[in-house]
Amino acid sequence: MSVRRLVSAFALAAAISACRRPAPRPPSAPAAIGFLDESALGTPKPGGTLYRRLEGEPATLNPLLQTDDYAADVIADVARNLIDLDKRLEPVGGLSDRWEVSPDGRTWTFHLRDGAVWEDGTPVTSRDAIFTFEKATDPKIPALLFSEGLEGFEGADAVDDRTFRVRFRSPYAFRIYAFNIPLVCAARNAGRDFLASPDDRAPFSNGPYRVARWRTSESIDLVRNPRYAGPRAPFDRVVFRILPDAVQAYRALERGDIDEMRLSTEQWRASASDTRFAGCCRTTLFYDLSYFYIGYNNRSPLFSDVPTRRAMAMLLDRGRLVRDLFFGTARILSGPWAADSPAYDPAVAPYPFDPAAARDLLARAGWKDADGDGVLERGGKRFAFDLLYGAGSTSARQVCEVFKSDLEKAGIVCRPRAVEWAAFTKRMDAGDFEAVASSWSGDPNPDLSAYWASSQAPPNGLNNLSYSNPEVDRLLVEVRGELDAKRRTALFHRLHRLIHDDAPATFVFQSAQKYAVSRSIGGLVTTPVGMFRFWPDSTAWWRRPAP
Amino acid sequence: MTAYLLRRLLLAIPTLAGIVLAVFLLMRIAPGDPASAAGRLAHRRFSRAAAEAMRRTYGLDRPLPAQIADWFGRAARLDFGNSFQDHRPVASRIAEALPYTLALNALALFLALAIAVPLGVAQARRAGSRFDRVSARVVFLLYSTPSFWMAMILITVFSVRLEWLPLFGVASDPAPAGWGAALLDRLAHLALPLACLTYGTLAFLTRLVRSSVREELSREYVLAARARGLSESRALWRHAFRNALLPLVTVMGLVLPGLLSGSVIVEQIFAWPGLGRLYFDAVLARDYPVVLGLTFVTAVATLAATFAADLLYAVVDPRVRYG
Repeated sequence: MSVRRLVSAFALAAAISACRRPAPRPPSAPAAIGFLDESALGTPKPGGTLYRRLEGEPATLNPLLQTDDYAADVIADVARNLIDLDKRLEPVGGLSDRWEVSPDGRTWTFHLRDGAVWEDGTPVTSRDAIFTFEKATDPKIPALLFSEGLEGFEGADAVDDRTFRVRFRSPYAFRIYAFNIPLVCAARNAGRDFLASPDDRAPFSNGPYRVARWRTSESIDLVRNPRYAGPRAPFDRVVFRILPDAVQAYRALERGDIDEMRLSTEQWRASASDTRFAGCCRTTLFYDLSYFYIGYNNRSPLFSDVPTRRAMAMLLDRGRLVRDLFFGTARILSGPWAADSPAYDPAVAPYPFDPAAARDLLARAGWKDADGDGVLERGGKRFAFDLLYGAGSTSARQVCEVFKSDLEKAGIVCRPRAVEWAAFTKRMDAGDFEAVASSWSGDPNPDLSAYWASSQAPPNGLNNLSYSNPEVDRLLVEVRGELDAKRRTALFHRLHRLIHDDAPATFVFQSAQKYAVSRSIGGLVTTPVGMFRFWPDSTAWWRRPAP
Repeated sequence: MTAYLLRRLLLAIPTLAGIVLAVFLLMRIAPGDPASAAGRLAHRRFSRAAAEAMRRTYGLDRPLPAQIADWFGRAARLDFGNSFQDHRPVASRIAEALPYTLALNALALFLALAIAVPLGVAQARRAGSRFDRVSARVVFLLYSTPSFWMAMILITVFSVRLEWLPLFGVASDPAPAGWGAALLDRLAHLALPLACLTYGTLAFLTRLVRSSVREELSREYVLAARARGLSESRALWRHAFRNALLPLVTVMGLVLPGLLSGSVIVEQIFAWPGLGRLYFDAVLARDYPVVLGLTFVTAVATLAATFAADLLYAVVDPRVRYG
């Protein structure tokens, strides 16, 4: 091959790459967003391998020490929880099929399911459960995901081999979520450092699959656990491929190397005009419990008053964001829960986009441009601030840039700043910021006292915005002790109204989760907790025979 | 010579300690710690009590000098501690990823040298010719092409359009039956990452070889050799090329440690389970033991390579003597 030919081949390759992504045509109809339930459609065909994608490698598969989504995805197929949540987020039997609460709400009694066994055939016993609760509440064990829900743990004791009691110092209305916890095997961990447990690499299975092999940075292979007594999962094997690059994952999906992946909004748009994709895959969109918000440091002189914070919400053109950045696949919120949470009060309307009204509010709050430089001042302080967001999030960056230009028109200087996650968290927890843009990862537990109670303001807890309202504090305590679900909802709705009125943050919107799944896969169910991590997760999926 | 070797080896110890200490301090000056990094992959934050517990568990609440002394004490016995993430020994995590990075990078370097030396010499011999000018331009083009872009082009052409090569990974699942088929499968997986890692070094080395050979060819001793009636190739390979190797040896001393450092971008794109990804993930997770362990290994490799380059001078150039 001559040099000239080499050069022209190079140019050709460049040209191919340039036209790789054809300009997506605007969708003619709004995208269908909603939950999918194919659990009753078709007859599952047993056998074969399901190839799932992990966006990164789990730090550990120890069920108690897990911290990341990747580990959670794998563990969900391997370890049943003491109680599970179903597709409607209702508690259902897991390793335990019956439980009772004492009248004072402090003691919980669980009965382990007959036939619940570890992968070596030994039964799951009260001893395992007690071991698990003791480890999860041990201050020397970083069980970050579970220790908080078990606050006030007093002790656990066995009634017999299959029955045990867990005692707490006080009743808590949302305690049930603390039992959505996997168990670890006491015998396997006896006499060894729990931080060097074999569960780190291969959690001891009591679920439909067990870990056959974990090839670091490549894949985690699960095979059927023959001793599992529950419903038989259709696939013989599940291979989690660790594939960090999203562009590569999309191609792998098209080639059939993986069966599912989460799409970015951009990928979802591009897939609409990709004929190859349409031939092999389908997309499903739904809202989970997460949402995006812009929070203000309520202690900062800029944001310490309600009118200013309300004006911020009214200056952000959320309708345009939803239309232009998310192509209609997002919905605007008015309060601190996702719209599908029973705690969310649909009667509370979000602040409208109204720059004129916002300017009035700002003027009444004492902001004016006295020196004529185009930027508002109050008490000699210019209205200029850094808006921090976690580096690597494209949508956060886009929203922050839109907010910046919206605020500019009102004489407010907003400087979006990407901050690497560990540093971001550190500054959030220290309250060392003026404003942050971040996602709230939806938790089925609607209790927000750890995040909005004034006692939890930095440096004490996770009320990073230093929000303080005595009435909210009182209601947050009341709802924790209210054991009647209807009355709890009423209390939550009052909380929603109060927090909305104080506007400590702008609850921007929820953007729909977008998944692509191979057309050959049947049995999909999507839920407010997502596509996975409810019972039965992808263990109910199956592959349709090739036509 | 022995005294020189001994002096160099002894000098390496404080250098190594200095490098590790600098990285240790840098990691600790950087904002965040393992507890604040823990929720990054679930977009969660954990309660303060849980975070404090984690810091205590890993001994991060102790005074920094004590932590430093502790690390060096254990490192002296080649114990690099356990990872904060999966609690396995750092040494075994490194040992797991090392073969992948080493295989990929060693092959890339070998390939780069195998092409760069003849190409550079040919360019030098025909300096100013059309071949020299055109190939120099191609080499420059390659040198200034970012590897992530090249990776995308190669994948688009060879994996997506032509479907000749796999997209990612080190082997197919399930692996093809038979020894030969399995080897072929592994080679096919190696091809694209290898190409991405080779072309940059190749371009750089070609320029180096060309300029140093050219410089030597214009020297009087080459003219003298020709005048003595030596054949052109003998004058080139026996005389000019040998001297032209000296700068190449220096550069190899700098390139060799790269064999161990891995390439984050290429490993990320091709899902290659090497040291680059391990290092990158460890930094993001503030997994201090893994970061320090890898720093130690890379630092040792760097010192060893510069040392080896110094010794090689003596082999390549008889005038160099160490005393």
